[in-house]
Amino acid sequence: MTASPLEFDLTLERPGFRLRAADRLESGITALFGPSGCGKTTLLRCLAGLEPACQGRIRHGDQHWQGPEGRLPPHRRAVGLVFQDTRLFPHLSARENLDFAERRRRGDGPGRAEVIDGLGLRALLDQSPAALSGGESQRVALGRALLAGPRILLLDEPLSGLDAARQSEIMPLLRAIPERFGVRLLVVTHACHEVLSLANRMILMQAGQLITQAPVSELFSAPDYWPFLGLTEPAVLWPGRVVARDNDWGLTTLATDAGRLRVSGISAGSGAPVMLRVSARDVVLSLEPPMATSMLNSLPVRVETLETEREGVVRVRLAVGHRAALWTHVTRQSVAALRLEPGRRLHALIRPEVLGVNH
Amino acid sequence: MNLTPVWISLQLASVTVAVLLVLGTPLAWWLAMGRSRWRVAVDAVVALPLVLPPTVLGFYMLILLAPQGPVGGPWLAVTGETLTFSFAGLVITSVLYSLPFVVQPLRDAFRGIGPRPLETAAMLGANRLDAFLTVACPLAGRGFVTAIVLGFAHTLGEFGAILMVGGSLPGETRTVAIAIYEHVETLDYAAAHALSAGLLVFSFVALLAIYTLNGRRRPGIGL
Repeated sequence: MTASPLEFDLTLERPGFRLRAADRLESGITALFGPSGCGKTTLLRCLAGLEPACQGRIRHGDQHWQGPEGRLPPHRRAVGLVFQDTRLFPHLSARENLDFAERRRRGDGPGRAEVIDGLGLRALLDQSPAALSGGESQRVALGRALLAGPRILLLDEPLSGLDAARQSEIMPLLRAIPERFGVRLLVVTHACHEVLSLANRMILMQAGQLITQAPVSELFSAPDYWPFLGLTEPAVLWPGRVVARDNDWGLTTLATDAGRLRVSGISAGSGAPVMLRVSARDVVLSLEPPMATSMLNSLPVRVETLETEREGVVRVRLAVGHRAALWTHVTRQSVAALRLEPGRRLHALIRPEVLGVNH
Repeated sequence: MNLTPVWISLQLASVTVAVLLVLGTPLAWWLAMGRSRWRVAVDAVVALPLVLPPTVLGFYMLILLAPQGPVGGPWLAVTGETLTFSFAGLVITSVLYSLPFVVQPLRDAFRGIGPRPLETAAMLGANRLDAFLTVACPLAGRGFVTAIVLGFAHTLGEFGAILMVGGSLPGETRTVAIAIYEHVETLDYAAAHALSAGLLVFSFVALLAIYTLNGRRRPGIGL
C-alpha cells in the first residue's frame, strides 16, 4: 500500500498570532516539534480542514484538499486526527466507537481484526469510554482513527498525560503504523525523547513559523538547532542496524556510519534499526589506542574544530570516518596537553545511549 | 364527569410538542452553533412568551388568525375553515406559547455539547447531517427529554392565550384549564377539584421526572 505525499502551503491569521507553514509530508513518521503555543495543533487542524479561516493550498497526491478551486470538507479528506483528549464518544461503547469509524470508512484501510489485535483492544471493546484509563482511551482513539481509513494520520500529543509505562506501551504501536497500515503520520510533540524514539523526520516550529524540516538525526546533530530543541548538551544521533548478538555477554553489535559499536540492552534481531545518541559528556579523548578501559567502544577520530564554550572549557568537533561526527568538551589544559588542533588524529572512547529500537 | 376537555388537552399538548420538536430542533441548533449577528435577537424573540402576559400573545394571535387576518385569511381560502375558535388555531397558538420551553433546553443541551464531538465525527468521515443525527442528538438526549416534558406540561396548563383564540367550544377548543374555569363559574367545585388535582399531580410527576433524570441539576430554564 503506497501513500501519496501531502503538500501544503498555509497561512492563518488571528489577533496576535500568524501561522505560516509550507512543507511536504514524507512517508513514515514526521514529528511536529515546538514549544507550547507555537501553532502545532492549529497546523494539524488546518490540514484536517477544521479551521475555516485557514488560507492557502493543501494537495494530497492529485487531490486538492484546499486551494483557489475551493475546499474539500473535513469528512471527505483522507485524514484522521487523534485529539489530545482522545474525544471518544461518551454515548457509545469502545466497540461502537470503532463501528462508527468503520461504517464511514473513506477507502481501503486496515482490517478490523488487524487493528483490534495490533492495538490490544479486544479486552476493552465492551467498556464505556468513561471506564477506560488514559492509555486505553488513547489506544481506542488510535484504533478508531485507523478504522476510518485515513492515508494521513495526525496525532496531537498522543503520549502526553500518560505515565512512562503507558508511553512505552503505545510507542511501539505508533512506530509500527506506517509500515503496517500504509499511513503517513504527523505527530505533534514538545518532548525531545518522543521525537527521538518515534520519528524519522521532524518539522521544527516556533511562533507560528516552520523553522526547518529535516531527518531527525540531522537536526539533532546540528548545533544551530540545539537552542530550539532545548538541548544544553551537544550530542549526535547515529542511526544503526543490528548485525550480531552476543548472548553470553548480553551485547549487541551495531553497524553505524561511525563504524561497528557494541551496546547492551537491545533484544532486537538482526537487521533491526536502532537509534543511538552520543552526548559530549560520554566522549573521552585519548592519544593512544585505549587498551584497558571499561568503555566498550573506541573509534579513531580527527579534530575538526575547536571553540571556546565558556571559561576554561573548549567544545571540540570530531570527524569519525567520512560520514559521522562527534562532539566533546575538554578543558583548555587538555587542549594544550593533547596538543589539540584541527587535523589532529586521536582516539575517542564513547558510551552511546540507545534511544529507540524499531522491532 | 365529562372527560372530553382532558382528551383535547392531551391531543393539543402532543401535537404541539411534535410540531415544536420538528421546528424547534433546527432553531435550537442554529441558536447554539450559529454565528449570525441575528442570533441574539432571535434568542430574545424565542424567550418572549416567558415574559409576555398570555393575553397579549392571545390578542395578537387573534388578530393574525382571524378570518380577515394575514394568516387566518389565506388559511380560510385554502381549507375553507377558520383558524379562530378551532383546534388548528389552538395548535398554532400553543406552538408559540410553549416555544421557549422546548427551544431553550435544546439550545442549552446543544451548546453544552460544543463543537468538539462534531469535529471528531467529521474526522471519522461523518458529514454534518450524519454527525448531527448520530452524535449531537444522542448526546443532547437529556435536553430532549426536558424539552418534551416541559413543552407538554406547559401546553396542558395554558389558559389565557387559548381562551382568547379558541374560546370555549365544548369538544373543540375547551381544554382542561378552560373547563376548570367554566366549572368554577358555574359553581361546580367538585368537577373543578377533580380536574385541578389531576393537572397538579401530572405537573408534579413530570417535573419530578426531569429533576430525577438531571440528577438534581436544574433544567435549562428558569424554573
